[in-house]
Amino acid sequence: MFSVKKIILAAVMVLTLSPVLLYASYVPTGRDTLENPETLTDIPAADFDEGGYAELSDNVNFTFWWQEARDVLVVLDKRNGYVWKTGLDVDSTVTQTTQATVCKDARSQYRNGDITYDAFAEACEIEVDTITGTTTGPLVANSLMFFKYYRKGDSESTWEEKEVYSSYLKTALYDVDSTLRMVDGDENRWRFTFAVTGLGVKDANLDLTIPADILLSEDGFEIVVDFESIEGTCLPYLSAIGVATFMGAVGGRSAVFTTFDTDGETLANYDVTEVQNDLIGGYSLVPDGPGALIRYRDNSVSLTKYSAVVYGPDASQNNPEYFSWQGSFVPYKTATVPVYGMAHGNDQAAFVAYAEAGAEYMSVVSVPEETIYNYNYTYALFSTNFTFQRIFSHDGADTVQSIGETLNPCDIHMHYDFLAGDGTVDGYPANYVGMALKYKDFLIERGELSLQDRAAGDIGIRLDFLMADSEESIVGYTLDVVTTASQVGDILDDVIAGGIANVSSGLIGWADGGVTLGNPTKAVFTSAIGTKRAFADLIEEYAGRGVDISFQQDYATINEEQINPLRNAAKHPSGWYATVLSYESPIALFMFARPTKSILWLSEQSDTFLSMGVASLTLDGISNTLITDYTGDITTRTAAIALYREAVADVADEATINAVRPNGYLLPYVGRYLQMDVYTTQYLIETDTVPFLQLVLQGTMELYAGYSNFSFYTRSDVLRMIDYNVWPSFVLTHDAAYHLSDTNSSDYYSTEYALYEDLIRSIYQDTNAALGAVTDAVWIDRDVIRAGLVRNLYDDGTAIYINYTDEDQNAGGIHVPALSAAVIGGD
Amino acid sequence: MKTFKKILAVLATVLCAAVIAATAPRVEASSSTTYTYAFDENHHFTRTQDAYLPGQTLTGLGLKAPADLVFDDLGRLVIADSGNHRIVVYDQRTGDIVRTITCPGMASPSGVFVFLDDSEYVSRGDIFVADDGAGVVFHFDSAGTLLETFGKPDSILLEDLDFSPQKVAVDKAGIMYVVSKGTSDGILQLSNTGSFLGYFSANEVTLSFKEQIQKLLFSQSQLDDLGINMTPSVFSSVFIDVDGIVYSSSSGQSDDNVKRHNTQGTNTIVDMFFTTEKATDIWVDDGGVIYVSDQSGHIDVYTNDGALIYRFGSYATDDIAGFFNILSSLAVDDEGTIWTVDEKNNYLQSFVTTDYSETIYEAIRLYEETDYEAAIELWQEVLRLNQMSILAHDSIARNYFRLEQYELAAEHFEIAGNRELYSEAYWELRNIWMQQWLLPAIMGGIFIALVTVVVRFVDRRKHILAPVRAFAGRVNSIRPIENVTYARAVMRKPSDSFYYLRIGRKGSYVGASILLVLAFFAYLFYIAGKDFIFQSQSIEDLDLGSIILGFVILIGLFIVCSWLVTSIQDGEGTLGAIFKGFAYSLWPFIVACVLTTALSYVATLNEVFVLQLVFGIGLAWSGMLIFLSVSEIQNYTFGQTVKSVLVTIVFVIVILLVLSFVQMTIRQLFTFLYELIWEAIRNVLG
Repeated sequence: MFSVKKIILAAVMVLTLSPVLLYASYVPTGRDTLENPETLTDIPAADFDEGGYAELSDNVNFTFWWQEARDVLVVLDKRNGYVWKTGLDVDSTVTQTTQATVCKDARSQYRNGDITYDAFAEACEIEVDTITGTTTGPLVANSLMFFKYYRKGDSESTWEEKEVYSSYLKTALYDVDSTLRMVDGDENRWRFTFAVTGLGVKDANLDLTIPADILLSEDGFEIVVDFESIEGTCLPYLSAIGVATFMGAVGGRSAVFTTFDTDGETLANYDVTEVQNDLIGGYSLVPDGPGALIRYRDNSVSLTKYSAVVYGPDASQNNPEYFSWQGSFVPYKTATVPVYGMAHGNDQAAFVAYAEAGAEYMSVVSVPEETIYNYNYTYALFSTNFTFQRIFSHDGADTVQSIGETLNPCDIHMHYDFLAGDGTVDGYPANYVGMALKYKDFLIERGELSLQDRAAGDIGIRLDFLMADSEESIVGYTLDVVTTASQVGDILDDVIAGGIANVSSGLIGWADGGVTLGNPTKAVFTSAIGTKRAFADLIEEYAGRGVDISFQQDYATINEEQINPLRNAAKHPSGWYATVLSYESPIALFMFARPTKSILWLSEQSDTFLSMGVASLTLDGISNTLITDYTGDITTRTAAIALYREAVADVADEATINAVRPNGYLLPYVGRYLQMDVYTTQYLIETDTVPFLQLVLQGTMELYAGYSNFSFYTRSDVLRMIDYNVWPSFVLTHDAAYHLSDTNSSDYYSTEYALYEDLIRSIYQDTNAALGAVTDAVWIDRDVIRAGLVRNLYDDGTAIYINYTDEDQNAGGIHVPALSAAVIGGD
Repeated sequence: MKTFKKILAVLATVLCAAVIAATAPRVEASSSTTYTYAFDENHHFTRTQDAYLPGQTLTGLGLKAPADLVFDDLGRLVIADSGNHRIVVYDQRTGDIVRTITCPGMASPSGVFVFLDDSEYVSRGDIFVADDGAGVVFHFDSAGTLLETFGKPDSILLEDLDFSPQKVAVDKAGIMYVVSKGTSDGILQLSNTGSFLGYFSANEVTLSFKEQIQKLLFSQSQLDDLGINMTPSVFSSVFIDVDGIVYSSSSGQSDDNVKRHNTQGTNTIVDMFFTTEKATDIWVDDGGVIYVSDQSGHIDVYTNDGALIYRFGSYATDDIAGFFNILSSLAVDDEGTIWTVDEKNNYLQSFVTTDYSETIYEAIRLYEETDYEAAIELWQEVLRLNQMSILAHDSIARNYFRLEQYELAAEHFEIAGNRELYSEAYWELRNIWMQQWLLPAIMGGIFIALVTVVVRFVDRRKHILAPVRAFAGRVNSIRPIENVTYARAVMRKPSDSFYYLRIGRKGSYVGASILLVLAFFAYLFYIAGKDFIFQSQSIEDLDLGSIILGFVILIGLFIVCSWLVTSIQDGEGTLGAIFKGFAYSLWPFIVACVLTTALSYVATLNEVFVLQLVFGIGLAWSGMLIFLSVSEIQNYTFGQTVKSVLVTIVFVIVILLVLSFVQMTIRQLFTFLYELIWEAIRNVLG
């Protein structure tokens, strides 16, 4: 494919968008992708025959070793000679203090004439990792696993969380006994047992044993923890389990001991200087929205770590109170897939880590270098328990801290797949693209994703219609209708007449009560918006013209005016309904539907919709909200996922599923991914934004960007859509948006179709000119050629160059005008 | 009401630890991390297009507790790096630290000012540093050489002052405007030799009527318990714009924390609707747009008249682009980029404009340059991007007003909720209408008068209106109508009429009841049906239940209390007679309600007194009738009537007080039972 070098298509676009556009010169920030990291020039040869390393297994790609004294699994990647370790493998017995003693002794011996200066220098001049100077540093850094547990300290009123590490080192508080044994004589299967006694405070008699299987393969290794196999009296207090915390950690500081003898033996001495270790080129990948890179760098100031709960925070477990507040900021982007990775060097060595089980309790944590340990490290943490405020007064104001009575059934199965080189051998370059392609293939292999068989042609456009919402009136509520069923038809006619054929639409607020008060339990139509017959006719008529119209419903978020919370709302462990207080009006207080009810409502409404001839359904809420419901028999996140998957699978048999930012567990059933994030939360430690998620999903479903109505319509935004391979979408009304100003939909502040018809056409034409060339191709690579110039490669040989800068760019003879995209090559 | 709205507005942006994703539709796709808010027509914050996007975050400057930043004459950032006891000159375009400035005695530079003008007293590029730790103001030249140090001025007026210069600004005459930390006396004005010239401006405590009463009655500790702040705001920053106008920001009270001063120091921004309570810094760009930073991480942007354009930014402890921990200062460069420093986070954060904010600034500029048509075009573009933008509607209306297109101006003022200017536009429209139609109207009136005279003349001879009179007589003789219309007789001849009511010859319970119902609807019409200029409360905000309950309870109580009082004061009237007397007295009130409401559709704010007069007359007339009804029905003398009415009013007040206590008790009981039952239901039924 790539041998076809001649340019057969040079569709250079000069985008002509909205009138008043001002551009500053391009300065890359954490919202862009920077150029490739520095190349590693020195990959040390590894020899693990001595020093407590035992060879576990050897295959065509790897040799696996075990460092028994420090609990470190060592992976030698034969393809590039690179060595990965699950911990720092630091000798904790050599600290700055112990070495100072050595130096002092040697100095005395030299001063006494017992040894030569060379011997003094040899004994003293070493570099000591300063992490050994901390109490817990070597434990954290070396351990293959650690766990956290709750205990009551000196104060009986609160629970404190303590960490216990698998490394053999003993502490005054507890005894650790961790062992590695082969399982069934299979050298590729080992059982790591992490046993601890002496846990607790006063009696210190609690114990815990965590067995973990380590599976070795030609991809890397896996760690499997069967939750049922964890045992011990400390089990009810187990809070979280962390795995391979320091694998791939970069940075650290060294205490460099040097000797000098300038004035003769009597004044010979040594000196200690602390230096920052070289921060090698590379980065951690975290699943923040589309994907973020955290490059290894000296930030100079202390910055907060990245920590994200996979599939989003649990309103029951991640919020101690039964209620939470909505902030005035853009919500943090959700980690929708349980994956992270680390790359060292420039397309040289990398690993991608992902959860096959336990994702619903997993957090991805990435810590920047400015901590007491001075390392950048990224790892997965699995939550088994939590603290919350138990209520003991009628008004809910008086609380006491408690821990959960039921543990999360957290089976852990983590894969660590290693990547080597630039991908020319196996198609997986050792960078975030390779991580995405590796994870994508894993999902395809597991049947969680499947490549669509798409024909070449125009891209799609998503046009959602906001129909109605409720506002408070002198008595009760009145319905503000801004789009009727027939007006949807009028708008679609106009769009189609404008030359856009591949349209899919969702109807928002189609039911009596509109967006906020529409009852999710049944399909209640009103003639003010459109009768059932009117909607059925609309769907039928436009299906014949290739337009897919679906009903959109949020089955996860409810309010008291909409539905009685009794028997419907999910409960917080405090026994009260988990509630979100917002600043909106007229409805300010929202609750979460029980997962068991959500799927019931989905089933009932979808029956109605399917009987009306819809070809697809649009899901919100359950697609991106996961809560543990503490009603009676607890519905865990695991159980909720199973319920959602089963219910959505049933519907997916009969209709395409359009889902708003779906979490990973729904991906097998999704046909259209809506409102896809193209920016991260923007933690300051995040240096780059990358389309990791888009790379994983491209070709398996249609991907649509967030609504362009809302600050996403400039040239740079269109280029971002082309770069991230997402298609445009708009939310529209027939009437002016200000009719909704007194409703909860006031956030849709600009939606009137008449104002957007030109912009819809222009954005669609611009994105289609580029992405229309690759609708039948698979995205296989992405490069930043230089700051602001990106090249995306597809498997049919097409390359799309995106120039974010305000200057024309040249790349290998290809001219890319400022703020434009150019499509080159292809079949 | 205004205060309440402000509270709502502030609450709307209060940031709480939001662990759970928002329930509201997430409609953002841009790179912004915080929402931009503007006011809707109810002056509640509502989301709008992003005005600014996070730009660069510079963590590598080694800053420690940066407190202030400005630009020098070459457009470079000059940062008061308080924790490192230095001033940093940083070229944000090249990424280079040009120089650091410090001197012996520099402790914690908290304010920095660069003189950008030409003056015989101060050189262009000179740097003034307010150092609250050292208690002095340093004066450096542009190369960083210390020229002068100004300590506490020697003045008897400043004997008790702890001189801690926090911010400084210097005008063309070399006069220094110094904000001294924690001082509520005002901004110190120092001459170019450092002598004290006086306080330039001082903040005042603004108390509501209720708070003023409480201040008279309560002790300081009681006032503290009530949260009544008697301390005036303290100035937090001072700024001098390109035209030499002095601006200041304050922190403390909720009102008027952003000021534009005239040469006497008086605030020339009148009645700002909203200012933050924790303003930390202020900047005014060359176009007169005012930028204010607040300690909670918000950046508020105002027009030069003090109308809020939008607010963005947020507080958070997580280090995320666009979030702040303690936002200490801001500065705006020629490109419109806002640069900020965070006292706790130790890094520089910039925000770049979007086409939305650029369009607004351009439209404001065009208005200032009197290019109203072009300004309207841009404001229409703003309106396209945010159909709920009240600022856009208001601005369009102002431009139309200048263009003398009053109908369009009135239409947009109405959407914007600007009653004052709508009234002016309506006045102009009415004036035009009157000029156009006054003569035809007078002619028409004369014609109608003539026709009336002729018809009457003919009727006297030929009785042509006899059938009409007969029909009217038949209608009036319908019992309920006759009973209701008797109220007109009550209005004209109250003494006789009440007498007939008492003896039962005229009026009826049905008629009285109908009049009460009419009075209620007339009142409802009055409070909910006035024209936009006079209708400050929207219908959906009315609490119908409370209105009905209040109306019924108040009237019912008065009637019952009057009966009880007159019963023990030898009154002759029965409860029924009192009821009828009261109801038949309401006719003037009914007429006044309807007339006032009707007049509101043709009146402007200039004629508000007419409406008040009409309503007042109606109210007073009904009051007088009620008084006479008591007198006639009870057969009281004047003195007995006064006594009876006063006792009745006191009785009503006492009962209302008792009822309110009872209501509170019942409410608490109800709340307790509700929570108990609700808890049981929730736990048993789920």
